[in-house]
Amino acid sequence: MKIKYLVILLFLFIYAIPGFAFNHSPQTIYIGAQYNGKKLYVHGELKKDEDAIVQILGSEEESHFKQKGKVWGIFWMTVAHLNFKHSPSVFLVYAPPSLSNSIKKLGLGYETLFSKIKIEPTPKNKKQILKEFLKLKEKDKLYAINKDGVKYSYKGDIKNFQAIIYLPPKIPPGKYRIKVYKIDPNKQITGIEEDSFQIKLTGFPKFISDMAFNHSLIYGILAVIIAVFAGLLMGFLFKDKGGAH
Amino acid sequence: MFHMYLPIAGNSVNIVLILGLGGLVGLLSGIFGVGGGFLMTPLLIMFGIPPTVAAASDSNQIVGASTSGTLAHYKLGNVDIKMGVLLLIGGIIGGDIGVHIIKVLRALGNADFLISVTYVVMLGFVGSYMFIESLQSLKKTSSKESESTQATQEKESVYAKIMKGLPLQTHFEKSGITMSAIMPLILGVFVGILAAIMGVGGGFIMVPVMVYLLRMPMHVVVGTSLFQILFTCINVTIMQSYSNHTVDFVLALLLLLGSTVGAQFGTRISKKLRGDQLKIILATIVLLVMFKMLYGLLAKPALMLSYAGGH
Repeated sequence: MKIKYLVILLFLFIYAIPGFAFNHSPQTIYIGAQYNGKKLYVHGELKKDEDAIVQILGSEEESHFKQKGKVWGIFWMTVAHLNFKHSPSVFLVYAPPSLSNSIKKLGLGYETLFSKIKIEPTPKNKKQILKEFLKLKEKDKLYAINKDGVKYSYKGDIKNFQAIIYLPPKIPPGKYRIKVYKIDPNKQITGIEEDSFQIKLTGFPKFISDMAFNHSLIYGILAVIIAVFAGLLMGFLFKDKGGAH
Repeated sequence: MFHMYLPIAGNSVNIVLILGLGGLVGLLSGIFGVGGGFLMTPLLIMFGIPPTVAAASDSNQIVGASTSGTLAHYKLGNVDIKMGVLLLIGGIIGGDIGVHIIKVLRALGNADFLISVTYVVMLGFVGSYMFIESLQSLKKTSSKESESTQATQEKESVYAKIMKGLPLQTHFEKSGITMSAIMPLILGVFVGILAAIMGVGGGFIMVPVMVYLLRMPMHVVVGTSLFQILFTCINVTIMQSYSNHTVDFVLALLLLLGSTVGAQFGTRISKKLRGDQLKIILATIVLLVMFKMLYGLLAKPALMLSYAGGH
């Protein structure tokens, strides 16, 4: 009987915690023929003295990398294959300037992420490898920490936050998590909310990708037939020998 | 604006840039009368297309570019079908070998390295050869000409003896030559392997091979080379699509559009310029591309990690 009351009390307690529901748009991002990266808007409400940090996380997949090194004392080429486990395909952190020095302390930066990543076979210089991994991901804009990424606006006692997240052209299709952390004036996390959004191929890129990966032989034959006809058409239009060979 | 997403390359590119790249290579192709495929792949790599996707998509582009050329030459009677078919059989075998080499090397992680090294060697060889040959032809005196002719004749006699000793002697009517059918087969395999690895039709290798090793007349060389290249690249495109999923058809079509238009302007420009000077300019461009790629192999890379396996 006591347990029953406890459960009810717990429910009431959870219900009584003030929410800070956030919204994001769009819900689904489509990669069409003219896709060149898109913006994702994340916004919500906070108390006046609170801050928010927004995280975008891609799925944790096993990813494969080639490590370069010097061979024969002359050439720079692949010297090892490394498998990275528990590394999200995308890791974006957007924080307000006031928290720029607290990201690491709050456990929301690269350091916490790196502690979870497993590399196989274990390299001697893991720290250096992770540094290179970060460089590669940052170059593709798939990993980023934006220390001026959350903006505030005020309406009476309500503080609104907004983060405009840039999703780069190289972002792979899939499901992504959005995590919003509520931070109190003592720089402590007092709440976490989570939602998700999808990135999907659509239209022509979807058709081409489906064909290339699921019907590769037909795709190859079609690519040849279309190129032959395009070449003939070009030759007919210009009445010449065509281009490079 | 002006961007197009390439689903196989997994990135978006500026359409104007890719059309311009195709146009530039097509322009060079039109001006100099040689293939531009060997320049296209390294340029695509420089602009961020993964090497294996760049090479395979370039093969697809070459299918379109060589189609109209082959047809035009066939109508003029410049295609030695018998020779072309033998080179083609060799090319198909070579193409299959090349695709499998790429597949094995991709698994080992060295495909991109092999593509780069092959490029450096071939561009270095072709570029240096063209540069020296055009310099010599600019400086050539009548006495030197006779000396070189004599030297060539001496070399020819040894070469001719080997050629005559080979079995399966066949007469090639269009080319007006008699030789062993094994020769074009072996040379076809060689060019096919290079075509698959480098993503080029092999024209810049095949043309000197036909002229110097098969001794075919120039007008038949161009037509037969195009014929052989067309079918070799058809095979390479299908094989790359099937085995490695690296053909980006959208990229190939954009390049084709650019190169065909560029070639038209190039052809017009070439009529107004001198041959030897043009050859030296082209040789310089080829050598510059070669040095850029060589630098990539010798200089410490900015990033010590790269994605494995493509997409």
